[in-house]
This record gives sequence, C-alpha cells and structure tokens, in this order.
Amino acid sequence: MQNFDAVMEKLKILTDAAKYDVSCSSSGSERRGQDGHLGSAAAMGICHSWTADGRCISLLKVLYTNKCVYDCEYCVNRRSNETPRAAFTPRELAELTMEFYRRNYIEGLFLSSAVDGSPDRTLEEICESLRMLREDLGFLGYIHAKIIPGADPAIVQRIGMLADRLSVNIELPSRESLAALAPQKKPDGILKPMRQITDTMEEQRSLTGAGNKYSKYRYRPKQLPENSRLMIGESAPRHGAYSTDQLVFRGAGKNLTLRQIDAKMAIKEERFAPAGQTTQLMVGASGENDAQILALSHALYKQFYMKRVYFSAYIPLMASPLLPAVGTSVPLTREHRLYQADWLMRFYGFDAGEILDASHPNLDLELDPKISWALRHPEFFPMEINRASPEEILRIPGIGTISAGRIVRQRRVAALTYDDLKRMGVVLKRAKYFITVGGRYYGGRVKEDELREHFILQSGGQQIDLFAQTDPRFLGQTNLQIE
Amino acid sequence: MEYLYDNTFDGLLTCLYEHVYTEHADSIISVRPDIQISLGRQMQVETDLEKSEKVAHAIETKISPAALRRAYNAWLTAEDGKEMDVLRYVFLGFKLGKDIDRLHGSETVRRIDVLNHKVSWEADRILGILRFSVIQSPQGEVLYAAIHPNCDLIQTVMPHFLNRFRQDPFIIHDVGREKAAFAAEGSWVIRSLPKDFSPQYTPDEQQYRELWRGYFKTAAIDQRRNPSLQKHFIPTRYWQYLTEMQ
Ligand code: SF4
Repeated sequence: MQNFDAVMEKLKILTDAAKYDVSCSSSGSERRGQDGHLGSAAAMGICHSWTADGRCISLLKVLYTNKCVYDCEYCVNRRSNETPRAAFTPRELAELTMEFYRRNYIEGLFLSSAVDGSPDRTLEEICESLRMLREDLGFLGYIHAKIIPGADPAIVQRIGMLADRLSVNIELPSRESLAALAPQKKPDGILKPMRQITDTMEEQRSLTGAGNKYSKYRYRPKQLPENSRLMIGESAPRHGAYSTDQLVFRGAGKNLTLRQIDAKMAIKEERFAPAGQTTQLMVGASGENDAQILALSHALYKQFYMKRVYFSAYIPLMASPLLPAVGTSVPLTREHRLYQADWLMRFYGFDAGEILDASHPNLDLELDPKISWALRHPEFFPMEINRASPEEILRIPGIGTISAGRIVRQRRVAALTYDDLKRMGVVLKRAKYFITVGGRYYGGRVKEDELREHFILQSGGQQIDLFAQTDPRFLGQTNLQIE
Repeated sequence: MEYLYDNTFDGLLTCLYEHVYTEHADSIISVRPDIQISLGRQMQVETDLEKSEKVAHAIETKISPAALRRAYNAWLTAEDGKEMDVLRYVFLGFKLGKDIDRLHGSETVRRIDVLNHKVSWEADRILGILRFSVIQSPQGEVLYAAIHPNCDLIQTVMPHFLNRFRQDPFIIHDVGREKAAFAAEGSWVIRSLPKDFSPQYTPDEQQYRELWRGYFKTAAIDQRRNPSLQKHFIPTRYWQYLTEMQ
C-alpha cells in the first residue's frame, strides 16, 4: 500500500466526523444496543468489536467527505465551523472496505457524507466507490448508504442497486425546526427520495414476488448430500483422544444446510435496496414533544414502510442561540424511552394512543412505558397466567417476548406454577404485582399508589440494572427487550 | 460403573448404548493421557460406529432431530460432567418424546439449555471477533485465523465463513486443541495443526491492522468512556483475539 499515511489521515478525520449523531453521518444506531441491528437483515447482526464507550462495531462507519457547502446549525461539519477536512477517493474507500471485510473486522460499510459542491456531485463519487467495491472487488458484504436530501432520482436509483439499505434522514421532526436549523434542506428534498425509494421497492416486489429482505447477491444454498459427513471422516486421520474429525457433521444431523458455493450458482439479483429504508429523528434539539415524535414515527412506518425509524438524542457540540447550550446533558433517557415506546407499538400490540395521550404528552422518564401503562390501567390486572391470551401476557410488566413464548408453550403441557415462571426468565419482582398463578396472588399487600414509587426504587441504578434484567442471550445485541 | 471413552461424540453415544445393554453408567469420563486412572469399577468403552449410529437414529426418531443437535452441542462444551448431563437428557427424552424441549421447568432440560447456550454464545462471539490475517502460501494468498475457544466449535462456525468466503481459501486454527479447518472452494476438512504454527504474513498485513486500530480508537466517544460496559460485552479473556486491543 503506497498511500498508507494519507489514507490513515483521511480515515481518522472521516471517522471522527461520523461518530456523533449530529451531522449527515447520523447513524441510525441504538446507543445502548447494537449498531442498527434490530429488525434488520441478518447481515448486520454481528458485532465485531466494542468501542471504549461500549458500543458495538459492526460496520465501517465513515463519511465519504466532510467538506460541506451547507451550514446546518447543529452540525460539526457545517461550512462555518473550522475543522480539518478530508475526502476519500472512490478507490481508497473501496479497497479499505474490502480489506477490512476480508479480515473479518466488519460486516460492511455505513456510508454517509457531507455535501461537497452539490448533493448530486457528492453522490456520483459515492456511487462510483460502491460500484468499484461490488463489481471490481466482488464485495458481498452489507452496504448502508445515506442519500443526501435533494438528490436527483437517477442517482438514487443507481445507488439503490448497489446498496442493501438506504436512508434519508429527517432529523428535525417538524417543518418549523427544519426551516430554523437546517435552512438549506427542504422538506420536499427529504420526502421525494424517500417516496421514490418506497415506490421502487413496491414496484420491484410486485414484479418479483415475495421476500426481498436478504442480501442482494444471493447464492442458492445447497444441501450437502446425506453421506457428506463421511467424506470428511474418510479423509481425516484420527489423532489421539482429541479426534473429533469423523464426527464433524454428526450432531448437526441431517438438517445442516452448509452452503456450498459454486460460482455458477450465484444469482446476482438486480435488487433495489433489499434491506429497505430507514430514517432518523433527532430528539432534544428542537421543541417537539414525545407524542408528536411518536406520531411522526408511526406515520413513517405506515406511509413509507420504513424498516426502522431511529431516534437520536441531540449532543450539543455547536454553540448556537437556537439550540441547547453546549454542555447541556444529552437526553439519553428520553431517547431510550422513545425506543421502548416504539418497540411496544411494533411488537407488543400497543397503539400510539394508549401509550401517550393529551393528558400525557411526554413519556415518563422514571419508568418504562410498559409499567407506566400497566399502572394507569389497573382494570386489566391481575391476570391469571394459565388463562390469559398470548396478547394479554405480552402486556404484563416483567414478561418479555421470550418468556411469553415459553409460558404459552409450556402451559400446553402442564399448568404453570410460580417456580416455573422464575425458571422461565420472568422478572418476578415486577410481574408478581400483575398476575395470579393458579388463582393465587403473590404480590403481597402493596397499595396501588405505592407501586409507582416501588418500581422507581427498583429501577434505581438504572442502566446496569437494565442489562441485568435482559435475557442474557440478547446481551450485546440490545437491551431494548422490554419486560 | 464408571465408563471411560475416547472423547468423541460417537464414543459418548456408544456409552449410552452400553448403558442400556451392558451395565448402568454412574459416570462417564474421557481418557486423556494426563488423567490418572482412578480406583473403583471402570469399563473402557470402545467406540463402535454401528452402536452410535443406532443411538443417534433413536434420538432423532424417538425424540427429535433437534434433540440430537442439542445433545451434540452440549457435548462440545468444556464442562465437567457434560457426558452424564447428555445421558440424563437423552433418557428423559426417550420417556417424554418430542415434548421434552418444552419442559423448561426440568433440571435436566435446563442443564442442556445452559450448555447449549454456552456454545451458541461463544460461537456467536467468535463469528464477530475472529480476525483473519492474510498470509502468503505457495498457492497464493490465504486467510488465517487463530482462535482459543472454550468450546470445541470450529465446525459450528464453519458454515458462516464458508458462505462468506466462497472461493477464497482460509484456515481457522483452534490453537488449544491443535487442529484447524482448511477450506477452499466450498469444501473443507479438519486436520491437526500444531500450536506453534507460524505463518508468513503479506507485506500489507501490518498496515491494515494499523488502519483498523486507528479506526477503532477514533470511533470511540471519549466523553462516554465506559470500560465496564465494554468488558460486559466482550470479556477480557477474548481480548487476545482483537487486533485493536493489542
Ligand atoms: S449538510 Fe448539514 S448536517 Fe450534513 S454535513 Fe453538511 S452541515 Fe452537516
């Protein structure tokens, strides 16, 4: 590598510029969870490392360039801010990505960019880099590309054919704050490419039939012939007590689908953004309340079939009379509660109107929205665990989707006891106030109005406690599992 | 009766066979050169592929194919007493049939859950933290990774990397167990490979490692340093894998 020093320099500048969620780089990632993993294609499900602040690294997340002609109030890369600037060349970025990927450092690339010259000019370069990566270097990993608002439909189309996922970030959750804080970005410039992406995906779905959420380059998995495990056994000599050579496939039984790859079997499917589109809303830079933000996110899921709407707590890095002062605390808890509320709507069957209403326009920062809801609705509780429907069980605090599944499966075999629940991973110190087991109530005599205090005390010690209550299998993935 | 077996899964299945047809096993231990033979009644079980096949077949049909997989995964761990755990699980399964895995309340089933979880947890971690280096071989470039897992899981992670690398040849070396999977063009074998195998890296290798370290350091947000959270996700015993931690 001849240009090592130059690439190192660029890599540092463009990584640094991409790491705070306040620029075109905003990542669509959950801070406490795994980089964009939730509800996304399997390609992003692997953490390759954890930074010193405990975030999962799954993708190479950089800006293509941080040279910007725009001047968004909240952004470190805005034109009027003095900061070191750099830009990759298409080849540099493509090679870097490929070499990292081969070494299993990353699952793929998360590429966004400032606006160098014009949106289209910047996207042209990005497109060339992605083309090189896919076509010249044969990269089959994951690509998430950010579309710059105001992009020409033709370039959106071409990038969509190379990337797995696209996103156009909304950032500011209302027209008013957009006009005040990012005047060069127009609502239309954001919504048009978003609409184009949704329409293209719809069209392609109607052409090719179901299922397009996996990788764009798909290889047909080939079942190994039944006797293939012997193939290995025959060629491998036994050596001493450690020999497991002959048994390589034994335990995997006959269900093993080892994907044996044959170049001729590779079907390159010309698919547009097979992992869908996402967007992000910034929380705390402008004055919208939680009800407005949730309503907007709900509408985005409905109208654009978003794979994910991310929330990003605003980190005040830039001094501005229009923004919270530098050094103001970052509303991380609020961000977390919004994710939890969003999660309840998408996977637990809650309606936006149930979680927040006119008399509760903001989420309770002290308690998770599920407990809040349960405390406001004593008429549903206690529920008999052996009789409640699966939908009802999901609404009990202390029970997540996994333990709910276990409850429903096991009670088909035999009625459940209180001890069974403990073994199934139900968080009884919360659930016991909301259930009966075989007609018996285990919650003791805590009065309803004392419960709230009780739960707040319980969740004291906050963050680490949140992890402790999470199913261990999900650690490192997310602690958004709501119980 | 204490059974001695050769530390293969077929060997363990043969023990289960003898447990029924010869004499009850009270414990099953693997014969390793470093273990002194204890006193008491012992029987050396000769691994017999016909017997093990019968047991495997019985598990698949009388319980379920998933149960065989779970028994195998439990055996891949490095836990003491895993052999008897598997035995108890299998015989409970013969009694209960395919419903056994719904019985989360049973200690026996739970133990197998725990062992399975150990393997899948570690395998998941390895998928992410295993690091390939590009090495020079007479045939061209080859990817090489050294791992030191608790569980015997090379074969568990292979499908993932075969799928990823397709044509590219690669080697995954379980240094502690002195064996390695060699893969090229979609097929692979496991062979022994000594601890002290030391490959020759390509000239660029060091530079890419440095670029990765540079990326890793820059990506951390200093204001939010949280080493305990970092360790929570990636226990220090795995740090030796991580190029960026060295
Ligand atoms: S367009 Fe705005 S948000 Fe994006 S990099 Fe430029 S100044 Fe920052």
